Amino acid sequence: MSTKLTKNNGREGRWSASSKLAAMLIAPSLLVMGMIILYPLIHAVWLSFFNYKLTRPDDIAFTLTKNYLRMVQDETFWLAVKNTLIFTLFTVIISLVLGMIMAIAIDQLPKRFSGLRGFILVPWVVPGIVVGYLFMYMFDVEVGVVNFILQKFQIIQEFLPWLMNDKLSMIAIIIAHIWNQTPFYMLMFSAGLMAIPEDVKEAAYVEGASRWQEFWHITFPYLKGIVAITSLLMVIRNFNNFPIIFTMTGGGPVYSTTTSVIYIYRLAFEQYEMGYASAVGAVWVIVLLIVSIFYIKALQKDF
Amino acid sequence: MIKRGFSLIWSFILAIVLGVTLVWTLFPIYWMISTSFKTNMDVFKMPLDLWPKEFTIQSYINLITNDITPIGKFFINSVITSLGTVLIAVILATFAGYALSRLNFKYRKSILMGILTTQMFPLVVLLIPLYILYVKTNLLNTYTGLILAFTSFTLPFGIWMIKGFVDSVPVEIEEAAMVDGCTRFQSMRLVVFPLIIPGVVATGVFAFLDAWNNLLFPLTLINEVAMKTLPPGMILAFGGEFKHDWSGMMAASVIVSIPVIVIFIVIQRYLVQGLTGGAVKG
Amino acid sequence: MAGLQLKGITKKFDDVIAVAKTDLEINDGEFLVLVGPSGCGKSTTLRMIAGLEKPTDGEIFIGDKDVTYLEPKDRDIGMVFQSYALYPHKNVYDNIAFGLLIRKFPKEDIKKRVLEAAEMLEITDYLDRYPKQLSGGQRQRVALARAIARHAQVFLMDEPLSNLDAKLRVQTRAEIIKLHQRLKTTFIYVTHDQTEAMTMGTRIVVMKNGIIQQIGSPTKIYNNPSNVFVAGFVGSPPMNLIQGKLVKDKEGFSFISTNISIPLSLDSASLAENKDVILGIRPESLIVTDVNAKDICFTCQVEVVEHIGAEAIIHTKIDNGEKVTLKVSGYNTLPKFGEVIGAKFDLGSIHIFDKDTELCLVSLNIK
Repeated sequence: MSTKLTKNNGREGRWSASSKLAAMLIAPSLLVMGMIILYPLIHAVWLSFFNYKLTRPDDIAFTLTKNYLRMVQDETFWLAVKNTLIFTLFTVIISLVLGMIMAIAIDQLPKRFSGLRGFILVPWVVPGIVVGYLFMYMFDVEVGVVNFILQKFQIIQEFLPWLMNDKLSMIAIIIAHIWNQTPFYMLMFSAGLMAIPEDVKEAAYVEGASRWQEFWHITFPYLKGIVAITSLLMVIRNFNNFPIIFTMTGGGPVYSTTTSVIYIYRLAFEQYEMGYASAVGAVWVIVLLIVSIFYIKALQKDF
Repeated sequence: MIKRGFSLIWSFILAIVLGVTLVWTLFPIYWMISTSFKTNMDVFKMPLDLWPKEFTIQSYINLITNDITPIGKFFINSVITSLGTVLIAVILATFAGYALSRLNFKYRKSILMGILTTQMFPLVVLLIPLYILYVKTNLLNTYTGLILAFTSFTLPFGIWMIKGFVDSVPVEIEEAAMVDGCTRFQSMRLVVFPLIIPGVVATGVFAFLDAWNNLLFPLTLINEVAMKTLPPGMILAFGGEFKHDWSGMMAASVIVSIPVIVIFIVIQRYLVQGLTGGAVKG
Repeated sequence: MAGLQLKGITKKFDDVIAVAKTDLEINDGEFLVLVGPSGCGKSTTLRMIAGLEKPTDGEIFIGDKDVTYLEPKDRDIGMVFQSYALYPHKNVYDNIAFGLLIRKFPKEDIKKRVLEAAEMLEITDYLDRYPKQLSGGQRQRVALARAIARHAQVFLMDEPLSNLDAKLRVQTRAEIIKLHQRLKTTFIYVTHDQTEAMTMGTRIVVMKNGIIQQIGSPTKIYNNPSNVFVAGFVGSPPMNLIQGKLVKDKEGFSFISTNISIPLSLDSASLAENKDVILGIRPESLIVTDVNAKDICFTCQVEVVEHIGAEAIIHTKIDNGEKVTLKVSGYNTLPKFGEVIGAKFDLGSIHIFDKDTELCLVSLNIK
């Protein structure tokens, strides 16, 4: 009996040794992330139940529904949601198609040109704030090179006020993001293309498949998983995108380029509506969690 | 494999696609650099010159000598906080990534998924409570505060990346090391670590890019001018009345971009490897 | 050098039993082979000895020392992995030296031992190369050298030859045997290949579904398989197993199947009238004879004839549809496809297995 006991103790000890080591190795990461992400997130949800304006510190009161009811009737909130969807939809779809074309084009080139990929990737690492200022400058109504080129090729007669017109501003912002993000799609698709086994392509070649058939029946099915994962990831990223829009238009003119995150920022740091901003934020977190579930599902399916 | 022969039309289409791609990608960069060497007179003159008529580095001199928006100080702040983030993120991600790949323990899967999910949260939502927290803990206007914030947002990606790399190291190699006399920690340090260096480098680079490019954290968590990093520094310098100093704005853009572009070009081989080696998953 | 003892070793993965309560004694200096189909628990047993897997129950002794709860590093073992598991970032010298370095051997000592091991395996010329610059066979030798450089008490080998091509495998097999004779240490060797087991082991442990089926010398296992599984697993081509019944008459028991009747001329307490049994006979114990010959055992129809040089293997079908294989000299005139031939017993033994328990009831030499 006593031997049995010591035996079990020995085993328990071993198990906890492995767990103890794991805990030791992971704890620092979880601690930092808990402090900077998890705790503030919970606090934000808490704040969303308060009537809390920085401008009126004497008037802080708990209210379960006020902020959320206000949101339902807040036209600007719904406009921001609409803007986010339009912005994300166009940015993701166009970048995806362009990225795919670039990846395939580069894949056709002999190996010694693969350094080209490095150059094409540059826009992706340019800081968002630089992208924002650069495109603000290029889309400027007076000195913008975009107007200059379009006029030179006689596509437009007069210089367009890209960033001051509530319809054109969204287009300008989407273009800036496409420039910034297309390389990332290209990189992901290039990685995917490289992962296609040579013998599968050779088999298709031997069986007499045309280039188009090869793409449609071999390449595309292989890339499907990466397309799904990359698009979902980029939907999430664009739902959260901040610096480029913030520097280019600040969400204006009026609210025409205000996406949800920009709206939250403006509420919190321009109007000091801390409680209401937190409520909008909490709702937005839920939206993102739902998209994330799809993303994680796609990840688990493909890897 | 035998590359298929190219038909003339196909080659032509390919050439056009690549040509357009290159112009589309590189022209804005070129325009940024070329404007930064123009005088503001030139910038405002129509028709525009593709090449600066009067080549000048005046904009750069103005930036450096300006005391109200000390771009040199911003640059140093950016370097310190970014390198600090790289150091801490790489160490933490290596430990956590190794544990999540190799050790079997309760909640391993939940922790992995939880880490992945944090990547999806809009940073903006966290700013208000974080600001309150930083005021309480005296982290406002400190390097430590910024480094912690940057680290937490680059860690999820880093952990997944390192985990992917450790996954690709065969378990037998570590078992061989343990039979050879290594403890867990020794096998991690002497056998696994040298084999995942590409992943560690990639993690470090992404951490650097994330920290260097981050605007929101320093915008809200730093309100002393002397502590600002480059992105909020640029907003300070070119928001409002200086909005039309295009040449200066582009010169600042060049200064902000150069470190990341140089680092990126030097290590891009590792990055592609990193992405194919497991980071696709994160 | 030391012997080993496994006492009631059990391993469960969740609810799956990989190794059922197993007792095994391994003598000092012996070459023990664990053999069985994949998933039989042989690798798990080896890994528990190595300390890479914790037993769910039971104890392991190396020499007199209870090592059940010790880390691999504290067990004084050397191990060769199926994938070799060389350190890709270290050259051959450092691969071999690593274990000594970790154990803080003096530098001179390390050098002496590395060179000694390298010489024994004839890899002295590659010491500064990296694993990826070596061929499969060379990597295999490095893995062996790494295992022996430390002069461990026990060497464990997990299918070390399965990644080599056929010719190299035979060659390396002989070298491992030589290595064992030279080192005189305990070797524990895991394989799924019965030929390897038969040629290398001084003792063989046949396993299936986590349970030891038989332990014994190669000859014992070959000549006296304890059950149907061992009979069918060892030997190439495998033993013929024919289902039938026992009938008793004055002369003793006879084996009866559809058109086969074999007098066993013996009486044994383990046999019973009308018992369902399986008769086992090795292919080389059968020879081809004329259909009308007097001493014929049964007739069968030829399906395939494989001529492999000195030997020929004849695959046939008997009347009840069961397959019977004959292994004959390749210098004979061989029957053709479809031909009906007679088969009679030659040298060797006949084994009678209980159909229900599959255990061997009796083995008798053919007169």
